[in-house]
Amino acid sequence: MNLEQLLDYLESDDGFRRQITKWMVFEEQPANYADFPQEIDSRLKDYLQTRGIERLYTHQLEAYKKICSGENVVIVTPTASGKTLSYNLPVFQTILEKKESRALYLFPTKALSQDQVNEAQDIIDHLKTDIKAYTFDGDTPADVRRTIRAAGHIVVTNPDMLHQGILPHHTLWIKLFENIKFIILDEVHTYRGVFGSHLANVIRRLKRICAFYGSKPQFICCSATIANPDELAEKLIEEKVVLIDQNGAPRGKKHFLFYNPPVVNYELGIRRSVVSEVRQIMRKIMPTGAQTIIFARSRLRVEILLTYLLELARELKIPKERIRGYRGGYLPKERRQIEQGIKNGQIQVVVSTNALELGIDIGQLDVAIMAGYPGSVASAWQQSGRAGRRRSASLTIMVASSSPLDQYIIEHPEYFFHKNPESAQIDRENLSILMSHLKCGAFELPFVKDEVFSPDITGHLLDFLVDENVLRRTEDKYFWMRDVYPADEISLRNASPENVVIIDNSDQKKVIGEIDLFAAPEMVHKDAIYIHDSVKYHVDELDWGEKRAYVHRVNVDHFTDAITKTDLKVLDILEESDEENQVIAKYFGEVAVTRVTTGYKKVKFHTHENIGMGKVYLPEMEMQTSAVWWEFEDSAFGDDFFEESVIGEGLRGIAYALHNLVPLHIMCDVSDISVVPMVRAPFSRKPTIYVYDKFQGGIGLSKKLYAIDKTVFKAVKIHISACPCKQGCPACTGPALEGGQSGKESAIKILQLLPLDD
Amino acid sequence: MDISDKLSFYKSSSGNETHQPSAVSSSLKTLADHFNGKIVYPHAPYLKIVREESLGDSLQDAVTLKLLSRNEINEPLALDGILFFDLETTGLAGGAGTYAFLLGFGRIAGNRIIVEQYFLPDYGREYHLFEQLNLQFNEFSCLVSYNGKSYDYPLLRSRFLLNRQKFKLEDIFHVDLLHIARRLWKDSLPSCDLKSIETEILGVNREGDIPGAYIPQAYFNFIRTGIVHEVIRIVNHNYTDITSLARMLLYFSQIENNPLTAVHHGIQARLAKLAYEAEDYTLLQKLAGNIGPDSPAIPEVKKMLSLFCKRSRNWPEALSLWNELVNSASHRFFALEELAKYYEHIEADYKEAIKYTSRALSIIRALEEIQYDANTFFYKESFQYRYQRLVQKSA
Repeated sequence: MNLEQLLDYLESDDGFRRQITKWMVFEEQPANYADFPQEIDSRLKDYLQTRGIERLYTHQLEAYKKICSGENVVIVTPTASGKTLSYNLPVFQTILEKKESRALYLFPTKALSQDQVNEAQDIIDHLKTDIKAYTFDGDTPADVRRTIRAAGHIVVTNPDMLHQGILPHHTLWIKLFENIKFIILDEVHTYRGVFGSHLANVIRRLKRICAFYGSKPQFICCSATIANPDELAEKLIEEKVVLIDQNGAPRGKKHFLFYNPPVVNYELGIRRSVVSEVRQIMRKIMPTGAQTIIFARSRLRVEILLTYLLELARELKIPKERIRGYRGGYLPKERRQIEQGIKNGQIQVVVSTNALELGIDIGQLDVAIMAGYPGSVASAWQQSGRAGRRRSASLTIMVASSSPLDQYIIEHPEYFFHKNPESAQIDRENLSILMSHLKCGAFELPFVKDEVFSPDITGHLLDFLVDENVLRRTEDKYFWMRDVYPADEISLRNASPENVVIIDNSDQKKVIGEIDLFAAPEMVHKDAIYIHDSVKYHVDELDWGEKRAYVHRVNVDHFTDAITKTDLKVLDILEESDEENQVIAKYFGEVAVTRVTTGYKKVKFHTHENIGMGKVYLPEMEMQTSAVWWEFEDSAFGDDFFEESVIGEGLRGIAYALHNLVPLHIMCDVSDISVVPMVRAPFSRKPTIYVYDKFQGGIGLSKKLYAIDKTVFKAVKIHISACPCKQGCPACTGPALEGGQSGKESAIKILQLLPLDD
Repeated sequence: MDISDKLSFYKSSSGNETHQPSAVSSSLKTLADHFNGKIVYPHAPYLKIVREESLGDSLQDAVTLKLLSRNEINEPLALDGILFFDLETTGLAGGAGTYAFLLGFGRIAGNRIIVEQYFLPDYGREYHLFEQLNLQFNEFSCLVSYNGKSYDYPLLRSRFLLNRQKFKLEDIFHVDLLHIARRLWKDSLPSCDLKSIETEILGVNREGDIPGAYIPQAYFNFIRTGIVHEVIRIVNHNYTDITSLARMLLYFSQIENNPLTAVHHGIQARLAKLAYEAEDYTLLQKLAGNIGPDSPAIPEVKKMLSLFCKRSRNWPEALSLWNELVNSASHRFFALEELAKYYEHIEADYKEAIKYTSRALSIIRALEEIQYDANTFFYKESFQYRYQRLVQKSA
């Protein structure tokens, strides 16, 4: 069955059709071509012609010209628009012109780098010159490393390796750093939040080292479609960047289906769960043999879906090896096998987290299904791009959950037609991240008095490190004075460097995965059910001192959901609105948050009923972070309607919707921020809503929200008012029972008080 | 005066140093007095210490290490062209932030070794020293170190680059004695670090030595407090490292020239292997003949001899050696395997080959009842495989 037949089949299926709220067809788009620039080396032209490339796309030419005139660029590229050539062309042309030139390619993951080096190698093989391109990562053997350092024209690596393996040993890389012309930053939209804040500091270190060896490389960045690619790139590299976003590449026909599961409880506004809905859809698709990728929002979702699909496979007599899960926490070797299996067709269905969203080469699949809106428009496009990457037609189905953001997107599919509203945020000056990289920087090269790493505070921080006996100040220089290698202690992926290792007691103490420290109390507390590759494990013990969780395999029909309790204290107000009004005041500042997991619910598979509770005794996790909050004047609630409990219900309703709609404006996961409504905040004794970044030191999310709060509140207001439910539902102000009877009404009335329309 | 008052005294004196970076601290003067050393370049001072001692009588002009280096060092090395070197650093991890604060160099003149050590009392004191060193480096044709190929040499090179100076040792011939020591003692000494070899082989005993792991912290303490006694231990430690390097080189040279003088059983066995690899049958026989009747090296030497006989197709001699080795606990599987191979491939006598194979398998079974052992396991698979093949062939 080919894709057209599958589409006909789905279209004729009434049950399926009924749930489709929007069947969008993106028509084929023709290409815009431009001729090769005159100066392009004839060998490069020959190579491109053997690959069927007679002309460039217009955006490739534009990028080439800007790069040649010495500017930094950020190229915004949909999937399969020839972005690799956009940077390979100037890089190879430069190396062909000047033999000693070097380039550094950075990809966010190891798997991506391997793909890229294969592509570069293909060019090199055709050019028949001795240009060398290598990947350099943790798996590179020691003897090969020496060759790469001395002879690699193009070194392909990831930020982690640059941070731990290259910069601290820069004297071994003198050839690279003396001659480096270009730094390629691909997938820059992934460099946001903690990872992006780390990377911005790694780039500061990189530029310091380049300057030491007398070079000043240009940056070529590529990004998926987001609202602020140029702003993000400029924050990352701290230099001016030219935006190139007029895409000249053609696009195949794309069917994009918005699927809203049926409402099962009108009163509570609850829809059938995404998981069981995807299962129904797969029941139709699986027998056709169409190769399908399903993206689930969490690791837990992946495992639950996988369990269901394996049951389905048994029913349909499809060998279970053809259905696989894929997510972080699987060991690397296992992941490579799965990638290979998808590519060569042995795997028919893969259920993945967003780990497979980025350009890892898994070939071309027929169908992409999102089990729930992936949290950002940019991600949705990238996940959708996994089906039919090339010029053929493809099918994407987005299955919405009952959550407000999903329902908002289902009702506003125009976000997929118009400009993406999402902006990516980083905070280079996050104190704990900045401090980590200042240490690494001092290890790499002594800081000189008055040197600027981070504007205004560098000297201050260096003197602090001197007092802590980490640095030695002598003759106006700051030297590293510890016997450890600081980069070893710092992971770019986490705000906290520590992990909890998960050990399976039933299999000779095999390590089956790891989990970061802040997530551990919720995921692997004692008696939790931890699910890995759809195998369920019972957590026997979480050894907090040793950072180990011991588990054994069990066969149960429930999973666990942790209960956590949060306390919040304002430490410092950094900014406040000077706008005069009688209703609301907004603040930005620092808060201390303590979070503790106190217990868990046991939830039955399939029916999702609550079948028991348990207690957990774990230490509090404390965090200092940045927050935005709004205080309401009591006088604004003059109306008799506003009893204290009603205000509380209203604030909870607003908080619920706000929390879920923030990610549409600021690129982050719902779980990256917390929203806490309080009728009587301990700090001000006033009704207050707090939003804080769930990372030590904050990473710029609440700061951005402080700036664009009106836009977000407007969206919240429109969304709640437009929701067809009566008293609030999971799609707007939260399930009615939890929100109380007047949550929705109260929320709307409070929002009407706000001066949003000026 | 209690200790914290004393410390605060030192602290304030080191504090003054920061304000007057060019001043030579009293601690450095104390060190200079102790070692009778010289403070060089008072604006950013470092300490130069020169000491020497005798290495024994009648040293030759050159050493040969052809056999021991497996032909890596083909030419004799002139003793007066050798630069021995060893660094003490602020960390073992390496990388650009690791500082070499004590640089020790040794050269041989006549029968004596002259050791020059440069102690840097603070960070940022390398530039002028490196200029001086680069002038001297030209005089040498060979570098000798212990683990220097992977640690000290790249670190020193990195320090020169960080000071934007040319590194005049860039392409110099480098002999890392650790590689030879490992080749000789890997199986017979618990560790091949310099200290083990000093005690077991060279008869050097260090008194009051500072363990390597404490060295970085001891240096940081000196920088902060100016207390000198741990630095004194480090300087002595480094001095012994250099002199031991020279002694070890001479010891290797002696073994190379006269292998029969090697008395340590570990070496006897490894020498036999080197002789076999170098196809030096005369030496191999000499080693076999020279070995005492109780030496634990006997089986290994016989093994090498038997392999040599096998290679030269001297079957009677090989068979007799293998039959002797069948009784050696450590070498019986080797011998049984060789016998089985011989009857299978040379004689095509499968029954005889099966006989040796089954004998090995029955010993393995017996051993397995006592306890599991990886070595046995390794042989087990190959004997089982051989057995099946032989049964097929003979059928």
